[in-house]
Amino acid sequence: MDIVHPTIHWGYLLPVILPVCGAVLVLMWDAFLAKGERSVIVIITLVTLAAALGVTLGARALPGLAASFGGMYLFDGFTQFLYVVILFASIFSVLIAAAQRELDDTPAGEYFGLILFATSGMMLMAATRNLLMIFVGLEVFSLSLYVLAGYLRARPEGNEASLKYFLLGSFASGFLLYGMALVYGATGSVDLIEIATRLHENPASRGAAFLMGLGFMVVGLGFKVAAAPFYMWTPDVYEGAPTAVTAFMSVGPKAAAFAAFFRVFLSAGDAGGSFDSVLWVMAVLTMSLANLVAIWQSCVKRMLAYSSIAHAGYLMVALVASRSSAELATSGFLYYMLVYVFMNMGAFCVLILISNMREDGGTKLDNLAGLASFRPGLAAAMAVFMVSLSGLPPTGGFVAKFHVFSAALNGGYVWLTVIAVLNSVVAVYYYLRLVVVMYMREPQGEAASSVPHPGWSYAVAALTLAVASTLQLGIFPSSVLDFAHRSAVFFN
Amino acid sequence: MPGIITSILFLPMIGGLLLLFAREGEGKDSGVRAFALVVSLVTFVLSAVMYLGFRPDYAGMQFVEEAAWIPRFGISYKVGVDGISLLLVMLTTILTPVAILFSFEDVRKKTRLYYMSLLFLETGMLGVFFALDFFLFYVFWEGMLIPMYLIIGVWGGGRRIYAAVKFFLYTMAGSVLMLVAIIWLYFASGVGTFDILAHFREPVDAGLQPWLFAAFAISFAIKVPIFPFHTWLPDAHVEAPTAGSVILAGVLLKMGTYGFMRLAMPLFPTAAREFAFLIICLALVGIIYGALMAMVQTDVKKLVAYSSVSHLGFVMLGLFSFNLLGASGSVIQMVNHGISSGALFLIVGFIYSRRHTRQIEEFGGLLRVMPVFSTFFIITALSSIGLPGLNGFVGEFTILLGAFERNAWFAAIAATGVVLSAVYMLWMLQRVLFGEVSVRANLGLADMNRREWLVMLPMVALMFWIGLYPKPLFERIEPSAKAWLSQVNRRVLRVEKAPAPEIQKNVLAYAQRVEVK
Repeated sequence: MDIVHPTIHWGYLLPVILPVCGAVLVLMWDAFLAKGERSVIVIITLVTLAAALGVTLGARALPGLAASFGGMYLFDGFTQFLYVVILFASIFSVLIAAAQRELDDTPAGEYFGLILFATSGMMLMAATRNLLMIFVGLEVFSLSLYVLAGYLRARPEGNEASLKYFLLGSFASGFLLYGMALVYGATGSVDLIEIATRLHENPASRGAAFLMGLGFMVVGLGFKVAAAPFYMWTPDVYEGAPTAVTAFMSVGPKAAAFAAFFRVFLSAGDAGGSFDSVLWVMAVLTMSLANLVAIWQSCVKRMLAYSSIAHAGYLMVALVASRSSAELATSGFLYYMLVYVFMNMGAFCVLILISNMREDGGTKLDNLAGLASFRPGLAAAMAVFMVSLSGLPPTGGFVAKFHVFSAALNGGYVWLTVIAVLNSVVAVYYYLRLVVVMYMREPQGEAASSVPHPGWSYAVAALTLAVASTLQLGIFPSSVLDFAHRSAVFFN
Repeated sequence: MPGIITSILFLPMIGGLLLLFAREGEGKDSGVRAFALVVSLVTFVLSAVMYLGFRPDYAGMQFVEEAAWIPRFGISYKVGVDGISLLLVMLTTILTPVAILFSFEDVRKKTRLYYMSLLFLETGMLGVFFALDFFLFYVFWEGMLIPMYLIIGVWGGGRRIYAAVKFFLYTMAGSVLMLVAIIWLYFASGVGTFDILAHFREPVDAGLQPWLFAAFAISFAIKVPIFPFHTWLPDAHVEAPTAGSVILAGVLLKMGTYGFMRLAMPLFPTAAREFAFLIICLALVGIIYGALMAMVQTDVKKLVAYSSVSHLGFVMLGLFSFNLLGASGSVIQMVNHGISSGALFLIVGFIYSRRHTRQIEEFGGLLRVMPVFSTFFIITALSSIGLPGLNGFVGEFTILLGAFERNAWFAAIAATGVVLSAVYMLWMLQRVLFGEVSVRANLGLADMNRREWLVMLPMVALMFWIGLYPKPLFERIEPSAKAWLSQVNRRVLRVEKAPAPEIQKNVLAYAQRVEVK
């Protein structure tokens, strides 16, 4: 028997290797060298992530060199862009975790180590054409996030979040794995290109087993992106987890799970066609339910949780359109994802700074009352993020929505687009309510604490980057749009 | 004059950004105010230079500037001005300094943010009138909502938050549908660009036109507002601070009528004709309904707000008359309404700042106490009614002629609206200005001060100028209005691409229905 040595392109693997090494280093450092020295650990984490980002941006996804380990690891344009998204999300989550008062007395090495492990898992999930690797990646980041969700052990809500996320998450993983098994049974392969070829050549493989497998995978992935009707866990988990973790959870797993979604559905091709209407309904339900419920929230953190579900709905629109208008939909998804990192992370960063100011760490809507009078800069930044989340010009959120809706209309989904834009009107109501509270109400309650947190500078850096990027992606989007379009290339 | 439009367009925004570095607070606000006023005055001077350089005999776009923006989608930064937008641009650059000057005394809190919002708002409004690219147009159209929302919501009256949110949601609900229509048009036409002028040259399939027209029309109808989409207007006008109401009535409402004129009608002429009867009916209902509602108001500001619904009905009537008189009358009427309703809101602002009430019953006999103020009030009210010799007459009379040319009944019903406007305005004047001074608090009221003179003078001067010598304005409007008319009267559809069978059927059905002139 010949042993085939797999081709390995180490350069392309570097963006994943770096966070893993960084995680190990951080854990060891905390254990042996600098017990309790947070700032060093934060800096190591940031340097690792920045290096990975630099390598990713410097790399050029070349056709023919993309696949390592026989397609288990794949560095194509799509991967490259999603790496940028995931790494930015990770960098932001580190910056804002360093500024969150609640996390001050928790072990730093484990926290940042887990963030780095989760990052590598998300990256692996986005960078493969192999079903098993999709699962491995998903489990790597999910297990890290289960722990992180309950990181504040003393808080009952944290424990609830962690347990809920773990139980439901394992259940969803089971669905996903079972779906993969069925797809493997029907087609005889776990490699997406192989699967696509067999589906094409052998119509018998498109039978009930394959469709059922695909259906189970929709359930599993739908859970991870928090799409209706599998989003029930999201509000509780997002609210119970530490805010910095919530911010990370609302972006990173979405990017990774949607990447798998796109890859699976594009390789299923015509055989997955019967799922178009399923995804259509899921998209409509996700957007509409989340937006309607978000209106009634009085806790900003919970409102942002529902908002992130709603945004999953808009991303589902891109997914639905991806079969009939592949390039526009894929690049639209990528652009949307990148904009979402900046605007959502920015919003969470402001939220952390606000809860830092208060003894009870509250994130109620009333806690923001009159923010514009005593923290005008913070209020202005939050207003920019809210405007962008609503999808209004001149911010990145508008260009992203414009792009995704273009894809849907180009694909012929007129009603889906109409429902989506009407949803964004509903969303404006609750996003702008924050602006109302910050600018049009008078401050109330006890005076805000004036003692700045030692991590203040990290938060300022995060906010500056987020505001600048949100505006830049809205006013001069051309170069990043070109990058997204170049990256909308799969598997070669 | 290369770059003149870009300078006019972005000067207010840059000024607003520079205000970020200003200091505010007690005693420091005068710098902020003066700076904002200077910026808006320089903008006005630049726009006056553009007005003087404008060639009246040329129908097309002038001073066009173009630069690639998002080439992948065929989106460019393209701006220009023609006879239709020129006057609206002038209206904007005149009303903004007036509004800023008025606010000197009126706005005391968060002054920096206030003047920033006003200046950003000016850029947004100018952008809507200048834009020759759908994407650019939409960015300004939506972008200007945010400063207006802040102006109503932060510096408005008692129910300001309700009014601001209602204003925002109504406008947004309409405009997102327009966004869908714009993208749809982009893909359906196959032009591959968002350039508005390029789309004018490419007729849209008759089967698609009603849908796209409806989407654009709803968005603009909410802005105008056409009955029954007007309910946001009284709330927003009444709650907004005076300067906000001036801008809202003076310029923002015109963006709706301008949208009909610039985009909805020439892009989808077939559908526009099909919908014409419906829209004219709604316009007539608006004229009468607005006037009747104005008659029964007890709040002067609300009265002026409802009069806007009535006056804007005339503009819609003129546009959908599909003739030259109607079209050029509409443009003049847009400007006139901007001037007279803007001036009326200023007048209301004057008495509100003195008495902190706007109830008609609280006043009476003001003529004896404040003779100068009353004179200004009377002139403005007469201009709003449409007295010959003042500006209002020129627009409404031309529109009525145009409507008469189309259908005598339309003109007859609309003329009732003119009569009604005389009723509610004169009645209000009588109750506020004439008679005995019935409320003691009114006895000691001071007459207009120097700043208020300065605010009102340009408005009154314009009323007389347009009323007595409107020729230069008509000269500039007419060539563009003629070109516009030939665009909206296109009847023969040229379809170059092989259309889908279903669409072809619609085209055939349409061709049989309409006699080709």
